[in-house]
Amino acid sequence: MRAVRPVRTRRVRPVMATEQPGRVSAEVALEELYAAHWRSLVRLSVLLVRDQGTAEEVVQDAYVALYRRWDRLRDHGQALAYLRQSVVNGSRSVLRRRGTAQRWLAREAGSVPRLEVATDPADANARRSAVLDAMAGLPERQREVLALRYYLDLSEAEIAEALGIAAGTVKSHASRGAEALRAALGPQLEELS
Amino acid sequence: MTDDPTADARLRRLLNDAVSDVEPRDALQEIRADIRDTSGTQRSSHLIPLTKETTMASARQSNGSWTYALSGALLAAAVIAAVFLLVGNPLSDPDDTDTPVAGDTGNGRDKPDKPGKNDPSPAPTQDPSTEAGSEEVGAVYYVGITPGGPKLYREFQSANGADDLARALTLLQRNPLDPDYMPTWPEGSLADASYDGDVIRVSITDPEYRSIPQGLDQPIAQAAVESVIYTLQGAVQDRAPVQFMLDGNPVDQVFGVPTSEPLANGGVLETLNHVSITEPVQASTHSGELTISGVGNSFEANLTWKLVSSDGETVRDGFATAEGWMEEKLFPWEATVDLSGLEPGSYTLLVQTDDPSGGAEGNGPDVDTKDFRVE
Repeated sequence: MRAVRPVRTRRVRPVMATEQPGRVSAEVALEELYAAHWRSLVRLSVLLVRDQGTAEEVVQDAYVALYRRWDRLRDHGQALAYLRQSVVNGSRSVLRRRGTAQRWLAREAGSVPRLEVATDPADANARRSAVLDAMAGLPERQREVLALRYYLDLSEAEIAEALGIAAGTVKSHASRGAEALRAALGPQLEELS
Repeated sequence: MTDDPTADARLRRLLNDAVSDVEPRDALQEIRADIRDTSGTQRSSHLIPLTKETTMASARQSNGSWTYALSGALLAAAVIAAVFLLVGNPLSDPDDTDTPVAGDTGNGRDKPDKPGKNDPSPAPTQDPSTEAGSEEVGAVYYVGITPGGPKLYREFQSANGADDLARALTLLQRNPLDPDYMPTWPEGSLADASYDGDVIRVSITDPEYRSIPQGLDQPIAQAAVESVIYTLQGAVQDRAPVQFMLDGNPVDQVFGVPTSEPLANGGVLETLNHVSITEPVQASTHSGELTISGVGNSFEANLTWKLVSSDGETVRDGFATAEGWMEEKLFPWEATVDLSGLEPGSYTLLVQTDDPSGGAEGNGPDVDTKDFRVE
């Protein structure tokens, strides 16, 4: 499910920030979360949407959404889990919205023969492109499960929570996704082993 | 989750490696600014009665050629412009078995010739047994990319629906027949179009559609919003302002375009491509004598057309004269092309406006093309 946006009530701006201690702590917490996780969350999103600029926007939105929701978070220890979930949901939304217009634009621009540069597995850039292409070719859920499992090292239970699906479903997506990825990335896997 | 720990470790290394060179920009300042925006100042806009001008001024990268102004002069122009919707039709070619309107009533005049909203008997061809909706032809405006930026092109398609507005909504979310045009509204993104005689309302189905879609630039997003305005206005045969809604309330923006208040259509000559071909329909099949038609606005009402074969050779060319040109509207034009003697195969009809500067000024002529088959 998508993160629900807070009701947009008008908030009177405090004269001094100290009049709203809750806000101040939210800002401090946000900056700490930024310092600790900004880069890894952007990288997570790149695994999902492929494009870095898009990933940065998705993660930026996730931080802003967290701040807006801060007062309603029951457990602030869950802030990182909330961020992760926002990033996965935001990345998925971007991919879905890309559906129509972007495909058309890409076709008009002439299909960039991206796969051709990936033929030499010894080249690090080619290898990375091949991995991102392979991820992009997976069904949505498999891609998400693999990114959370292999990049963020989340447990089955954590993945289930982040995606709002059953643990058993995580398992089946993970094994099918891993199989598909191994099939697509044989040379790259050989090279890294 | 997989039984082979070695394989797992390899995939882990591969995925980590794949993004190891991603070094995101520093966005902390922007996040802080976003937070400040959403916690105070932005909301104050609700307390001030907005004029259209202030709405426009607050548009991201506001485009000067756009106008949401509902001034008297523009309204007058808009009403005049509505006239062009009343003419032209895609349906008069009996050879055209591929057209999506083949099952229609034959004279093809039901949509374009439909009288104004006050006329009680708009559709002589209407089947009385169509309570649950019927398949009819509607005009839809799609975005096309031109040297002068994104413009709207008119296309006719048939769709099922309870009424003209419902059909128009369906068409907006459908792929254009002409692959030169761009689909901008994903299926399921728009719903609940209504018209109370004053304002047309239409809902976006998800808050996602408030923001500009990734990969689209502002002019395309604005053109996409205009495509909704022009298409729904065409469906109700009235240049009524369009209010975008979300969950029953006006929504502040759609695709990043400010939409707090009902929007008038942008100026016809700024928003629409200056030529749209109605006939032949994309991918249709013809022989003998082909009537080509469409709408346009061109210097001294002159449009030129040419027929190009699949190997790039111009096999026919000529002129068409529109019914006018010195007004803020598109005028109908029509011409006849003799297809006899042509090899069966694929051809492209290209119609363009007259460019008296010969390309020295501006973005050159406006062009529309249709591919069809000769047999």
